[in-house]
Amino acid sequence: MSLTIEHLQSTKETVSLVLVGALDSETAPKLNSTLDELITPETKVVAINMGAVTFVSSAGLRVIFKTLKLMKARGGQVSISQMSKGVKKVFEIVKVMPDLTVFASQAEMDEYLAEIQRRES
Amino acid sequence: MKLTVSANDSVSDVLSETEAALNGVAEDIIHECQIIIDEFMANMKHHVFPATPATEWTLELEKTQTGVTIKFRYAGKKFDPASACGYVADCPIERRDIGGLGLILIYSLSDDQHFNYLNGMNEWTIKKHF
Repeated sequence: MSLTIEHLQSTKETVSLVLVGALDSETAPKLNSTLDELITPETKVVAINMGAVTFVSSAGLRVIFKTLKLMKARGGQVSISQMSKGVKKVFEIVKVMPDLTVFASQAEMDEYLAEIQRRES
Repeated sequence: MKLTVSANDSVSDVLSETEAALNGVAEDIIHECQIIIDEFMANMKHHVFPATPATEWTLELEKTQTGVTIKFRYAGKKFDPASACGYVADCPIERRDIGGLGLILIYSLSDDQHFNYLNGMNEWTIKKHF
């Protein structure tokens, strides 16, 4: 099991990532440190494509929760795209779905991020 | 499959062996079994190994016609997971703790759980139906 993190782009207010693999107790610290490096005091939206995430355990959930709390405290949000049925089930068990902004496709999320970038400029 | 695991063994190796042992089982069931095993390993790492690093535990996986049985065994102080499992608060994320989700996931993703403590041995059997 491994986790690959691709940093798609960052703008003043957004950070966009693609995850590939398992978000478990061994790989979650890698996501945590990546987000710690990429999130700036101005970041308000963290967008994560989870289309290729096989499963998420509680260690991965804690990283998402921590990021979500930080973004919400700034009036921002965490957006997830292409969540698989299994990943969605885990998010539903811990009742976090209402707190997330969910997109069915990367294209929808890109459109949303582009709108934020238009507002930034 | 029976595997003996120590503090230095990697999660990814154990989860890969789990995947291999459950070959032929639906992918979503394999992933849920991997979550259960990952949660158990995380609990051992945080609650058992710091005090007794030499502890070894065994993982037994049995694939039957109706599901998967996962059995964890280790010698040590009695710990009944049911006594520590909390619940998910029904409130916005801002007002929630970010810990304590592991046991909740194990109980939610499995269909039957049985704990037994005998002669100093913790034995936890978890069943996941197809």
